[in-house]
Amino acid sequence: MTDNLTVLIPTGAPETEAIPTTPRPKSLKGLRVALLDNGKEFSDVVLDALAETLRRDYGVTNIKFWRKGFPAKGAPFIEEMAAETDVAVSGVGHCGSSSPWSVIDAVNLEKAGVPTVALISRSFCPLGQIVGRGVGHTGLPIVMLPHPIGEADESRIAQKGIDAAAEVVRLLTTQAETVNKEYAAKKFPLPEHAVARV
Amino acid sequence: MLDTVQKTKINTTDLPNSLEAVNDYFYEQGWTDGLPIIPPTKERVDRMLTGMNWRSPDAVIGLIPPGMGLATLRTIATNAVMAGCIPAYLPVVVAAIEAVLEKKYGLAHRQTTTHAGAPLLIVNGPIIKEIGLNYGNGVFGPGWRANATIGRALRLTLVNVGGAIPAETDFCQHGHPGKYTYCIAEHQAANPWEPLHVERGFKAEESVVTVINAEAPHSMTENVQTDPIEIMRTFADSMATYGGNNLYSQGNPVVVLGPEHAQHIAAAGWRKLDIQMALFEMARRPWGIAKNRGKSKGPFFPVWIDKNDENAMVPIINEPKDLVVMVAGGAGGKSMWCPTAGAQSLSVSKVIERGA
Repeated sequence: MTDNLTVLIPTGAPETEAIPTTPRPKSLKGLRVALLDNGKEFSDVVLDALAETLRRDYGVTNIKFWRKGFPAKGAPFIEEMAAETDVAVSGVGHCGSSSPWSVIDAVNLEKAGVPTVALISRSFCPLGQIVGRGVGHTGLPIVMLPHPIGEADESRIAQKGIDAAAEVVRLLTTQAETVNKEYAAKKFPLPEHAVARV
Repeated sequence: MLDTVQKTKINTTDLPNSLEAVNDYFYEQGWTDGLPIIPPTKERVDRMLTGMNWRSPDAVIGLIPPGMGLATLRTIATNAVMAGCIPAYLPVVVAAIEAVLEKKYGLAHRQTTTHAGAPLLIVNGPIIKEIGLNYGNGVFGPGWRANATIGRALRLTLVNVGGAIPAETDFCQHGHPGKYTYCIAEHQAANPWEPLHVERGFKAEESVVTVINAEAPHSMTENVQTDPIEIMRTFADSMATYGGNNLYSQGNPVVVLGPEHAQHIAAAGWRKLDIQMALFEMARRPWGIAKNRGKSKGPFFPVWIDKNDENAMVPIINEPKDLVVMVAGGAGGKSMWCPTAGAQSLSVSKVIERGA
């Protein structure tokens, strides 16, 4: 009698081809930056503030906004975006419908060769991560924003975009392999009110 | 039938040979519902697969969101072993998974929504008696292996293959006990009308599973009245509520008639369609109160409600046939009401495959 029992693993790994993290530039100076606004409420406020901070603190001069209007579907203009930009930011996912699609847009931009980060609010980061992995991108960088995004005071919403800038820049300018490794191993905190199981 | 077959590596792990050690490990991995599981050894999974030996173990049943995990017959059988199923239950589990994967069920958002709903399985046809599904007293409760483990196998598959991990990627605010298991059968002998699957266009001799993403069942007591109109009044008042999604987003909510209510109604000469029409008319609330509360309206909010008329009465279904009416349960003056999330998730019926 053996001391071990062999059991089948009950999960179903996604059967997709692994998507590598797209090679990153060393700096954003002089590069074209695309901000993909998912159309979810307050995303424009966060992205406007992020754009302003990139201009002021990181020497970015060429920023273009892309707006897909409806947050719960993929952006129909990924190819045009990819042709017109050097790096991209996709967000802000802050509900169960917008977060998966902002991640899928980011993955599609990466597949099109554009270094991209997704902006997702804290509660939905684990969901964003599993969706990214489900379509084959284990190392997609997701910048975690505080949740909820919406507040009565608009300057506090904008602050979330300002605060995210440093991390956005780091993840767009760090070596792809490093980013990939970091995010493949990344464990996001549980959503607010979730009780840890173990 | 022609299957898409995808040869996948059978992933296994070696664990200390004790029930406790396997359960500790599976629990830590998040692969259980919190209750003990049966260790899915290769022998047990192979035995489970005999329940559908006409299909390849590598047959692709689908990709389950949000993680888009690949559900093959083998991965489903693995979860069915863990849930405590016997091989004869496997075709019901597989049909249920095929049903929730149909577009109109909207599985991607049902897996991650804040709403409490869980897939309610309603089984019809000869398989009910063959595998011993409960349709009588205590139909929603514990005690029958088929009901308990078929619903559980679906839940484990949705979590393990789909990655709908409670509190991590499944954002249900509260959930409800039906997320452990939620499987009933129709009491066809106590149904004075056509059974649910026949109403939905299947043959009486076919076995069919219907899935509906439903909230917990709510008891509707009417011990006093036997006139169908009065029974309908009691039901209608229980069903059209300002906190219920169906008032704002309609859909396919469910009435599970107790056998006595069904008898009273049929004795007065009513058809099943008459029940559906009566509740379509009577289970309503005024637009003036509904308009600024509850939730957003749609996706199929009735266009014929005059939004300038505060007194326009809003129904909880778009048309009579949208109400799922079935018979189950034991003796007594109760029926059950299962509200749903609304029309963003609709019911789906699938034939349960049987071997040659």
